[in-house]
Amino acid sequence: MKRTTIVVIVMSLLVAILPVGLALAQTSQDVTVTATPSFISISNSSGTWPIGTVSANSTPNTTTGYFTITNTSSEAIDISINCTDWSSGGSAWTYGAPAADTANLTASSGDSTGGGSSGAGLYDIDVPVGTGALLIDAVAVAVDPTWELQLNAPTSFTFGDEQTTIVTITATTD
Amino acid sequence: MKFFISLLVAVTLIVAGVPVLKVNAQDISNSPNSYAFGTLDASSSYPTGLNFTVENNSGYDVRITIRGSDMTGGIPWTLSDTPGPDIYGLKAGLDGVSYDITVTTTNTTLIENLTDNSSQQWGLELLSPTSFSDGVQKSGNVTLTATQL
Repeated sequence: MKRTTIVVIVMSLLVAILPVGLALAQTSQDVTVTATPSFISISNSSGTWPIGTVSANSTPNTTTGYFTITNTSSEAIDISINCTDWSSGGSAWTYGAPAADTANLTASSGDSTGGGSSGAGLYDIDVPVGTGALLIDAVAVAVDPTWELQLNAPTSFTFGDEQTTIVTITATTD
Repeated sequence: MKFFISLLVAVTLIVAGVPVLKVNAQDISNSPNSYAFGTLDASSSYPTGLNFTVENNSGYDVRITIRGSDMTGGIPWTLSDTPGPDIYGLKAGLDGVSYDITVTTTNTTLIENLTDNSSQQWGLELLSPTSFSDGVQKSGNVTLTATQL
């Protein structure tokens, strides 16, 4: 009986001393990977500018910062601007520097950090038909720039039809 | 005498029955544990080169498997064999040139036999989605798992 007891005690001690564990203490490792999509996306508000009745040789404009671009891009962008020729349900103006039945638009922004517009309210960028002109340079991520428009009205009118042009702003990688 | 023989047999049985273990705090290690791919264009591939090293100090030869996860952050990217809109791919390789192991969400063998006290460099290649739905940074995990051979 005593011998059996001693054997049991010895076995218990050995089991207690010898480590009982898993073959591999650490079997997995994680690597966290991150990536940012090169993504350019903007929206613009307001989408319209109803000028109303225009006088010859006038330069009606929006208030400064009338338009806001919501920028959800993941990298710095440039904003360019262009427009269509005037259209009308009747006779249409010619798009160009002010003259008889001829008018154009100019734009500006206070949020350009390089080229493009030199400041808010300056209306220093001619809005072209066709290929866009740089309006706002180097817009940083999460910055929502504002801009404004001015109509340079005809020097004289020979018809009274309402005129429309569509202005387009385009974002590209800076 | 019988008693000592019994004692010896008991000790022998116990030693034989309990494996001699080498328990390390970190049997399998991998470094570094993160990688930033930076800003990605759509439909492009981005290899890391042999940026990672997995090390085995477990006391055993092991097989290393690899699996990935979907990436979260904004509109998530799904991990798939073939990239698509908001669907990305991952490949792995051991020579820094060819990335011939397709990483999926289930374990795939990366290293057939990583012997004890040895290490192996490895790399990843990210295949970006064909188009993005947002510009929010994505984050996901790549998991290495060791199985004793």
